[in-house]
Amino acid sequence: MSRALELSALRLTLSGRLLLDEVNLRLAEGEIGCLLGPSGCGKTSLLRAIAGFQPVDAGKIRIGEMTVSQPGFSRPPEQRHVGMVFQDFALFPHLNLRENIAFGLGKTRGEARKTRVRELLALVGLSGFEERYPHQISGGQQQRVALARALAPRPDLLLLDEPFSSLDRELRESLACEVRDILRQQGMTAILVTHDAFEAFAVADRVGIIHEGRVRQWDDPWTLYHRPLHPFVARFIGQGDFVEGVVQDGHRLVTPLGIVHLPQAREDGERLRLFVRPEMLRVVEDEHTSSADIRGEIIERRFRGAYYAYTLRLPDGTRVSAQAEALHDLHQHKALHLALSEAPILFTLNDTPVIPGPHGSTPHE
Amino acid sequence: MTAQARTRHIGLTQWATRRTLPRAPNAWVLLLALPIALPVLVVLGALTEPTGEVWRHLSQTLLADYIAHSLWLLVGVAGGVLLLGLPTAWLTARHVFPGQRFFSWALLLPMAMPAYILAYTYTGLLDFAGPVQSTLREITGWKYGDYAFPDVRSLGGAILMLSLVLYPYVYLLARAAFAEQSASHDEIARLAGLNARQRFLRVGLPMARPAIVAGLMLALMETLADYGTVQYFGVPVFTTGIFRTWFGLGDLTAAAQLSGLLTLFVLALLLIERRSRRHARYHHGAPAQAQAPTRLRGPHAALATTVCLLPLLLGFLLPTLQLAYWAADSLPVLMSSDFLKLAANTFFVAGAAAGVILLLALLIAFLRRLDPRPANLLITDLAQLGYAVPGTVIAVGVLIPLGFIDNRIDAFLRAQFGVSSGLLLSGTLVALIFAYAVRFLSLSLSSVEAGLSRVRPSMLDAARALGQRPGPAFLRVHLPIIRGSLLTAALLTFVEVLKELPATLILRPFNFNTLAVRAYEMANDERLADAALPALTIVLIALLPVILLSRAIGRPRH
Repeated sequence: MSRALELSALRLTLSGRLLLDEVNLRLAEGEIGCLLGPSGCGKTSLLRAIAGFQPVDAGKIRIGEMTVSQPGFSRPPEQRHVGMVFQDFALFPHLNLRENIAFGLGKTRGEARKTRVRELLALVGLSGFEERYPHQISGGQQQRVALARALAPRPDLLLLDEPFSSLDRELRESLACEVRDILRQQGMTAILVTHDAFEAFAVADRVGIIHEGRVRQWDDPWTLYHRPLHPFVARFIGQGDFVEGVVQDGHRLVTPLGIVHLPQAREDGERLRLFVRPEMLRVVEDEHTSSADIRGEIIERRFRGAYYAYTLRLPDGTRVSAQAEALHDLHQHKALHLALSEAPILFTLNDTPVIPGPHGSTPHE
Repeated sequence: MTAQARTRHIGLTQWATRRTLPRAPNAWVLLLALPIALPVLVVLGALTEPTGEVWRHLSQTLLADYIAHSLWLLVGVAGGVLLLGLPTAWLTARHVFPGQRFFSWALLLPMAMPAYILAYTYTGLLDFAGPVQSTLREITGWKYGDYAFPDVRSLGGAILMLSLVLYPYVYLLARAAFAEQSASHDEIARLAGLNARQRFLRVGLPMARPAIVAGLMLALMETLADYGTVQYFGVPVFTTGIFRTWFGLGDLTAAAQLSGLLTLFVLALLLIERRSRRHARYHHGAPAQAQAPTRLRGPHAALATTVCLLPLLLGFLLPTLQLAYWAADSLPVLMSSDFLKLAANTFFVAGAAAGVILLLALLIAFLRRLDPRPANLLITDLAQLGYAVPGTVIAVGVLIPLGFIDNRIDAFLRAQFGVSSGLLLSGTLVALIFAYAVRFLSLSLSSVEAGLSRVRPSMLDAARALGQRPGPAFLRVHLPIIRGSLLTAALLTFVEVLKELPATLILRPFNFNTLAVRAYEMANDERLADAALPALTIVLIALLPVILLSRAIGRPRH
């Protein structure tokens, strides 16, 4: 597959303040990428830089074979052949849906123009809405029109800026899947920006986690979840707690949750941080048969339907979250007994990952 | 992020960027907005100049009189506009009675009536030979001197005239506030056992107070700006004082100092108005469940109809009928080429001013949006102060710098070439249109900015991502969206220029007359009937923006 988008060693500043630095990422043709990070982390600026609305301070942006941005040079947005879906949709209020979608069709006239508009309305499931105005349709429908409008000129790359954030929660997920299917069907290379991890996982092949001006990891969702390369990545996606331990005999980490076997030898006495997701902690029912007898005092218990979510206090005072199936009736217990499952996620105290086995990929800076 | 959080976020980054932007203003802002801000700064600056002989004379004799009469006028008009504006607003906003829907918009009609025209009309109606006293004599058989009839040409008369045309400011803002008050507040008061009167006094009125104060301040600013009425009625206030000091005593510096003092008064009112408006916004933060109106019946309904009919009758219907009667009488004489030339003159200068001001407003609005550094915003804000400042003051503030420039050019030409240029700018349409720009830029600009605010920045980005260059994107996206606002801006300015009297009177080129000036001259020659046709023309054209405004009110609440 040929490369559709490449950012190399990119640096962005906004009026003197460093926003992002050393951004390296690539998308192959037809891939959907996602930039994920908390509000204000610079992900929208990155998207705007790709679209050409913001200059870059170092590094390069290439779309296909063409360099479109580098320091001192920026190809204007209208010449990049990039489509964009805005957070507020930015539909033109004075144009009806047909005119909105046809806005970017340029010199295409007559029958070809009509056909293209019809195709797109059909694609987003709004056939027959040609003559409506943006204020006459719902938020979800507006979002689809914005997508159709961006796709109409057949751009090389589609950019979506928080495309679902102004929609209702229920609508968000179904629409995200719908948008993914449309993009797949069109073979569109796209990059999406969001602060919602579930949205990112629902849509994207590759996700980049942005934190403190860096892209901490650029990987597929499974790897991000199971092999995070930075503590922020671990914590930002899903739940979990950090527990500290000390290396003993090279291969053993002694933690309040018991002994963890290290994938590679470390120096004795080194302190490491273990990241524990709730599903990694097994609740052991019969305390006497268990060899790993870790007791956690129940601080809080929330009913979640399929399971109970617990907050537990370990003997040394560390707090961890755990889950137990709601089938077990454990509500009279004051404490739970725990066992830690395999595949631990480990970091050194200065946030370097302790790579577990051959699965880990190298960080993209 | 929700849309709201997003705007807050944008606001923050803008603030953050502002801090690192250059401190000096943009050159275009200096070129376009600073001259507009200049006249107000000039009259304020005059306050710091050493006072002359005339000023000493003024302060010993007339100044106290000006201040006292101005204050009485303010107090009187404040009472008048509240008395007329508040009950009508409360009734039409929250009740149903015969004519309620009609009154909702018709109560704005007196806005189309300039106070000086109302003054001429009532003088004609109420003077010894007028229809009212004639009828009185016919009925009673009294002769001259047999009875006492109040003289409308007095301070009380001026208060009445100004109240009748200025109450719509209070009505408009108070009505909006009453209409927006949420049902739940009234329901809480009802649960607490308050009756209708108590609910008005303890809930409705206090909650609308910021809006009422804002409307009141606008009416009072207009009161201080009035020249035509007080001049005709012989009430010595600031504006007439400025005229007399200048034309009677020939002292421009003292006139500028009086103007500066008046401007301080006006700025104080403006400050109160701004603060109140901020409060008004704060109060209406949450979207509220609109309140179901109360149906009035029987004597209550009749009373409500009367209360609403009275200001409309006295402030618009009666004087318009009288004007039309006079105008019809003198129509054959006046419908001459003379009148047509007068009308053409007026439309030309109003149209030119509206065009120039619109262009200026459009450019400044874009500068404010694209380059919002503090210095730019400050200067363009200063350029908008003129709207609060009386036309008389602006005329003084325009003449001083223009006269300075004229003298410099003249001196230069005489020294270099031995020829005199005379007054190049001061006595020309340039000076007049400049003064209009100072006075009405804010009007045009706020309308343009309201239009631009509907074009989100992302729309321009979207157009560019869809292959449009910035210029064509403006034509295809901005222009169609703001077209209505541009028309409104031009219309509002056109009409205001048409109505404007004092600045036109001072700055017009020799022998250049407008409808307003002609009406003024005729009235001052005691030819009230001849003043009617120009006056009626002004009123009818001034109806246009009022109709525009009332259509917005007539629309059902969302």
